[in-house]
Amino acid sequence: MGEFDSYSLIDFMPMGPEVYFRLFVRHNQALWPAQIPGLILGLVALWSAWRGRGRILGPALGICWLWVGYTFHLKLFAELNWAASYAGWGFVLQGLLLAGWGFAGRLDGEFHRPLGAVEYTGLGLGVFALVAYPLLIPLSGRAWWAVELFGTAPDPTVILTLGLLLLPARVPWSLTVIPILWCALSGAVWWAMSWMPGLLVPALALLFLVAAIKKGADSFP
Amino acid sequence: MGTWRTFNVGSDRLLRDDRTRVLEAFFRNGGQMVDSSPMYGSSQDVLGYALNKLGHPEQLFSADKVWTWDGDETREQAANSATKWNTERFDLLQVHNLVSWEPHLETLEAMKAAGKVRYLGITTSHERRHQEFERVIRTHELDFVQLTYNIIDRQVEERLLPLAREKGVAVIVNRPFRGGGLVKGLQRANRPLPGWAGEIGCHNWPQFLLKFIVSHPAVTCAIPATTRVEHMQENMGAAYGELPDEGTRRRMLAYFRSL
Repeated sequence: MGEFDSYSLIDFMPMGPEVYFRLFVRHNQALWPAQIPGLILGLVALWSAWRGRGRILGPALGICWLWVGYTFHLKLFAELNWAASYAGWGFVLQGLLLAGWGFAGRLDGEFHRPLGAVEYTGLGLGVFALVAYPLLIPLSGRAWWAVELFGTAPDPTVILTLGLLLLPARVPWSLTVIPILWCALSGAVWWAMSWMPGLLVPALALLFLVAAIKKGADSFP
Repeated sequence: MGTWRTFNVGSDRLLRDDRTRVLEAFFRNGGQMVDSSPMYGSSQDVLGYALNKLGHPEQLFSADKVWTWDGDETREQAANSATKWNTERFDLLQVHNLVSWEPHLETLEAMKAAGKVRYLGITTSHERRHQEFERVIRTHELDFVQLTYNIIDRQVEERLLPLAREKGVAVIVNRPFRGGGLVKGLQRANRPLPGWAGEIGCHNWPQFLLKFIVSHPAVTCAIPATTRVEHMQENMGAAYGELPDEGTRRRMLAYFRSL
């Protein structure tokens, strides 16, 4: 009777797939057209990482993390799941850290040149988060309004951030803890909701870790 | 009916109206007991919304829980829950999953004596808590216990159900379909009902599974949860027609095991 396993991951989720998927629809409808400046900030972040402008990169990412933390987690998701308020404050903290590190010049200069495989992986993650990830939503049968975009939805915001943190000469490890934790949590939620494309989120965090470790190893003489 | 996960839809107006229709179908088919908890996200708010829309039907038996580690917070949390339901007092308040049960039960006993709640009880949905659960039943004057019982999870038949019957404690059964997995598993595998299911008024698997539960002599009611009106109608079908006797219960079990 293996098909009747007692507890599964969904049993520990306080809401079902219908409600979770609708959360993104409602979020997008409530925020429209704020998605546009969010995407522009994503392009600014990509450009500033490419050009090694950490003082622009940090605040551009930081604003998006603060926005997602407040509008998605604290204002909307926390209605359904008390744990989302912790995620929300985590996003706020990450936003402040990114902006602070950027303003302090700790993401500035010394960007690895010429770009190697690790840096191209980072840029690839960024482009994927901006363009390809959002397309997975309608392609997998979810509503167009549920599309998850950088700057307003958590997963693409986190993936792009991780990707661009591969660009500086040294990976700022302290800025990677919250994004990696979120990727693990988000993957578990998507698994429980039976939306398998969502498993790309922890998979890409794993790819980031491999690339970051390789970068660390390469930086030793 | 239960509300875990199913009624946690937040401020989503579309889904709130959907759930109101589910609750309406529950009452229309003779349902009475609605169970919730502060642990269930926005479920209490959504219930309050739906009950307001339906005009708080008289047959409602309102069951909620106390779920906080702070033993001094019983009254405050119960009042907060009542505000969300838009009700003056609950028919039943239960200590959720035995969390800080000693101080909560003490306060609930005082509330009951003062007429602030009609009945009190305790709940669990974990087998590992059964020993402690049994101890509380033996040592306290409870009106209700809520536990997990279904055609697979039958450990409670050994001690807890006979004890509840002996002490005259009403039994609410949670997870009758193992969170829905039991019905989905049977339907996905296309398992047929036995040919004699119609003799006991079972026309689908939910009715078969629910009748098995509520026909146990110690069981007072089961609280399946659903998000769909048609599933609610199927579930409520178990409240009608004949209840299986002991011999038929054995037959139901044997058939299920043969699948």
